[in-house]
Amino acid sequence: MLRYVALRLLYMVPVLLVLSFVLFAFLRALPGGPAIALLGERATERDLEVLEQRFGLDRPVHEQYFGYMRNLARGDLGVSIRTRRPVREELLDRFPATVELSIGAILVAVLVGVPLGFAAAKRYQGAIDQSSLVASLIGISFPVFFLALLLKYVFAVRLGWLPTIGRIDVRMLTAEHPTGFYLLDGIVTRDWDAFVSAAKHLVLPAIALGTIPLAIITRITRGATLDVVSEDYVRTARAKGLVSSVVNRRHILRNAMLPVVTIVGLQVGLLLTGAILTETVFSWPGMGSWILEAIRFRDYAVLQGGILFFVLVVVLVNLLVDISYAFLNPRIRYR
Amino acid sequence: MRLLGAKRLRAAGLLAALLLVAAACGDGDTAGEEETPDAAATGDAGTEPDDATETGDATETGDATETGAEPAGDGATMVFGTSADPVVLDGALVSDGESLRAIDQIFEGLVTLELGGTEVAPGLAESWEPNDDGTVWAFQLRDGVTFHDGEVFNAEAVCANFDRWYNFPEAFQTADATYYWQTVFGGFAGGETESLFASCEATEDLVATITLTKPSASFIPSLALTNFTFASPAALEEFGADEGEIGEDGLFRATGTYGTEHPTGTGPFRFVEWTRGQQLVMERNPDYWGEFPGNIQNLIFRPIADGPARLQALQTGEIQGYDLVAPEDFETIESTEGLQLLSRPAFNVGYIGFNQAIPPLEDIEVRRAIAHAINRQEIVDAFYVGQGEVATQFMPPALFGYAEDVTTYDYNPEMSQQILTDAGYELPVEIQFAFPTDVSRPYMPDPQANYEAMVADLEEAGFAVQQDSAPWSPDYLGNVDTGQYAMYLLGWTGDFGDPDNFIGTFFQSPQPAWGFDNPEIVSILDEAEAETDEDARVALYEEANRMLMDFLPGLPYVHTEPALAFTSNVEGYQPSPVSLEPFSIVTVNE
Amino acid sequence: MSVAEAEARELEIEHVGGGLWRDAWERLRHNKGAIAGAVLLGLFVILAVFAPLIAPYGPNERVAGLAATPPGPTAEHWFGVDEQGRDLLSRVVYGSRLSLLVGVVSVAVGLSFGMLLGATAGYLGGKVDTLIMRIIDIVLSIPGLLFAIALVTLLGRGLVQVMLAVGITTIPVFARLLRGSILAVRESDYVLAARSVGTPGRGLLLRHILPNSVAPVIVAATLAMATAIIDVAGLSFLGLGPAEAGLPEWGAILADNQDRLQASPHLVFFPGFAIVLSVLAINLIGDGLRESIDPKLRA
Repeated sequence: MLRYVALRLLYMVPVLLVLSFVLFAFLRALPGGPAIALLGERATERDLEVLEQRFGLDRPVHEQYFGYMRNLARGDLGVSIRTRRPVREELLDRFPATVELSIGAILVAVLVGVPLGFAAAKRYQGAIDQSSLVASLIGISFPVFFLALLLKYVFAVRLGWLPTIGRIDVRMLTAEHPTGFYLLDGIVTRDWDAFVSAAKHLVLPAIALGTIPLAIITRITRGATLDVVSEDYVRTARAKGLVSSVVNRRHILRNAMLPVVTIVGLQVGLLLTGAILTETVFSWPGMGSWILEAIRFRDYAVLQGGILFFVLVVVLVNLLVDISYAFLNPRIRYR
Repeated sequence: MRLLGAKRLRAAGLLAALLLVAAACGDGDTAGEEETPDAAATGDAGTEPDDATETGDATETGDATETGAEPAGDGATMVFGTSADPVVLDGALVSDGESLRAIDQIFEGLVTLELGGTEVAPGLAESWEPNDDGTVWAFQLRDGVTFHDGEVFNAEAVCANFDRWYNFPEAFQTADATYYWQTVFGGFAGGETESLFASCEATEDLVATITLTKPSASFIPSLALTNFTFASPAALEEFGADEGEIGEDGLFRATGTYGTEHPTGTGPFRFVEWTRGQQLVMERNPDYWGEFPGNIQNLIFRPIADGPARLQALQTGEIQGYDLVAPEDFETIESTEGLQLLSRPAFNVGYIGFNQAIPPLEDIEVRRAIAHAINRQEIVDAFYVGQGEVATQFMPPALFGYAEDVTTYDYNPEMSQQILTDAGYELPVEIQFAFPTDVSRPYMPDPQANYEAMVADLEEAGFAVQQDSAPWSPDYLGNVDTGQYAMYLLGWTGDFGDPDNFIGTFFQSPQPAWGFDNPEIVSILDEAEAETDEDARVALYEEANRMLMDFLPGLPYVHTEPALAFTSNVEGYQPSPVSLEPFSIVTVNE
Repeated sequence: MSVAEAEARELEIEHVGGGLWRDAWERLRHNKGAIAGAVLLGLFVILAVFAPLIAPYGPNERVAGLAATPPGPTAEHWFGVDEQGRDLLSRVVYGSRLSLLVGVVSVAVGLSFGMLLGATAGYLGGKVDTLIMRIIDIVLSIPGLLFAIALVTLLGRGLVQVMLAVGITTIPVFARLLRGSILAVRESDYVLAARSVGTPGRGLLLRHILPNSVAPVIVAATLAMATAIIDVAGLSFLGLGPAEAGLPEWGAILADNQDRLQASPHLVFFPGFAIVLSVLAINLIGDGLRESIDPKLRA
């Protein structure tokens, strides 16, 4: 097992190296550059030249790349061309916001999706089954941003139940944020008002971002449960006279969780796609809106650092998923 | 492009001289109040009987405020929705609107502008006087002014700032950082480019004497730029404003925390905290030397990149105001109880640029045909909802040098077709035309709507439009600047009340975007810029405008009055053509 | 990509052999959802084909004046008019042409390249397989929308480029799926049997392996078509949609008018729900297809 994990980690190194180079070359092949983005309507040819030179963009790409990699080796992700701040600092500002949003979305998806899928399977072809299938299909048929716009318009603007923007009430921001995860901060500092405010701000974005995973998880749970229910060991357990709830818990759910875990893991990678759109709609100060802004400004260092970091997270989560597989399914052994 | 952009402005010399007198008069009042700043403050509080409850009820989530998470104070809290975070809170190193908006609240310069206008008024200098040839200027500074860190503001502080600007490290000598220093003063110490600035000397404790390398009429007005406001020299030093290192990748890494955590000026608000992407918090400066007629205790700038989200946040009470309201929302705001709309004087122009390097635009007949093809009145009426007027030339009517009698081009598609066929073209004439996506500018709130209407007009008048578009920054602007587009939508917001800032910027030197080199136009603009006689200068600019509208390098179509929205309990906000708008005069009522 | 990708994984997990076309068709015929989806999609196809007959006006015909806040539905204009004074119903009807086209072309791009790569990797195996799959792993680790944004930025904006970009992002999904199927089928009894009687390599691939690998690919293609429509709308929302202004494509109409959600909500709702309905129709069909092909869900 340890050997397997070590190998997987080792294997990530060349992948990330290749990706970093491809990304580097790709970004610089894009038309337009940060100099024009910074100067806007005021750009003159001379100013542009001076800026390009200042940013080192007049040097050959491979030279720029090795400069970048030398910095990276020292843990320096470079400086944002737009904000002039170290990318590492910005990343640390933005990352918790996206993690919080993603966890919120996954929670919505799992807490609703698993019971719903399970209930649907238990009453196969019944009312719950049919309606949950239809609902989940409708769920994946909504463009994320359209759903986000509608949710915001109805629940925040029209009904006024929830806030429209940001992570927390502005007056709460001066509260302490030791971890950067505002819900957690609220608990740690026992600032319950801050906790409530952060929770309120999280509801709509999490639902918007969680809808597609919710639909998928409902379906997977349903499918997996159906598979398991027909297995011999479940029939045996029933025949032995085990109480239904025990069968449910010990045999069906546990085995049905396998594909669900895989899908949850996969969703983490897909959440950033949704996060770019959701964060834009809700002015959520996370990685999605950060990277989008960086694309607009051709902020190479931010794009390079942000995307690499993100891929790293996805790969690590996938590894975690594979490991948790082993725990859930004793039949799988890693050599 | 914001505020007093100040390409060399020679005209304002007389104006400045007149203002010296005004300054001397205005002074007595301020000085009187300055001695009892506390009295003024308490007086204000007294007129607001419900002061204590204000913070609680001003916003929707009432329970939120009770926690006392905010800094304590009697006054109100105002949350203003901005479009982005500032870059850095160091006026010398920025040129973007959102940075300047925040810096305006914390910092002050030697001179300022009249509220809501473009005329120079005294700031931290009570008065100023040039020597005979206008190269040496003595500034009499205000007494009793302190920086937010308690340091005294005096002539040494002024000179320390000027010396800092003049001696900026090479890393800061780029247009993105020190654009305004370079446009006003030219070069830096020891640089190749000649500098207007020669030296600054503290001749007395409260007299700063600045020596220039040559006389300049633009010197005084340009000092009102937010970029030339004063920072506490002690704070600059302590928090390493200019410190940094050049990294392996050749990029400068600032190591100091001055502009991000410790901006220290003399202004009516002082810096409290800045959480990127979420909020910039400022609080009332209790030791402010001047008047503070408003009641804002806590001023919070909250970045909201998405335009519609700003309106929604205003509706839910999450913010109390925002800038650049979209025209389609005017009606919503005006018809909503509890919201109000303010408009800023028109100081911009939106135009269709023609690139004469790309056929058939080198042909004046084609340009004329285009001008007659577009129904500018209809577009302005529909998409600017009462906040726009059709432009006849490349600068707004409020500016001197605006010519009433330029050639105009009425909407007449039949005439367009006639012009084209007379000139020997076979209809339809193919033409490439581009618009920017992902952007809203004061002069162009919805580029695509304008564009689509124009395309329909052009096609009706015998053109076949080849459409193109790109995200505003950097793609679109890059394509425009390098002359990739034949026809394109663009515009300009004035920095300063001088024609040079409009038509001088556009046409004084040949640019790939326009694709022509017309020596007559360049020479008249050069002449106008150098002219010192006010009347002669006005006449020259009028003539230039007439020439331009005959030559038709582009088609100006709109001047707008950009709008701001506030909740109706906000009083006293004074829109300014160049966006120099202090929050210290704003009152937020219960 | 997002949904399709996950669904594809799901298919990989659940996929079991092929060769049950007739059964599948029987089951499909009795799947109410799939039939509803087919009817709905049929309606959209009819709208697309007969748009000029159905739409009351041309897609770019001005029927009212310009207005920043155009009026909503009336008896004359059921869906209201847009800011250019065009009839929104007509634009939505014509829009079905472009939006369906976007789905079909994107998937065609992803499918053809994906199949080629997947078949090559799965059939040749060895180093080629490893190389192709590693590249695909890397591409898959980049979020799809981000990848599409980058591609559009590189290729330039335009309807064709956008379709191409969205198509390219689905290549890895199809490649993996087909490779997995081929690997599974290759070891199955009848292929071994065919090989043992001396069927040559290419014939084996064409006659036996491919047809039996195709079932899950068809399902994935259906679902990918649904996501393609959504992704193009997402690109438009971010200002990276087709460059041609005023193109009657649902995503573009929706994105162009997102700022008018409050002033003129009809401009957002109608194209938005057209997207949701068409995508739902495709998803219903895809879902029905999957259930009918996948014997595990046989009740």
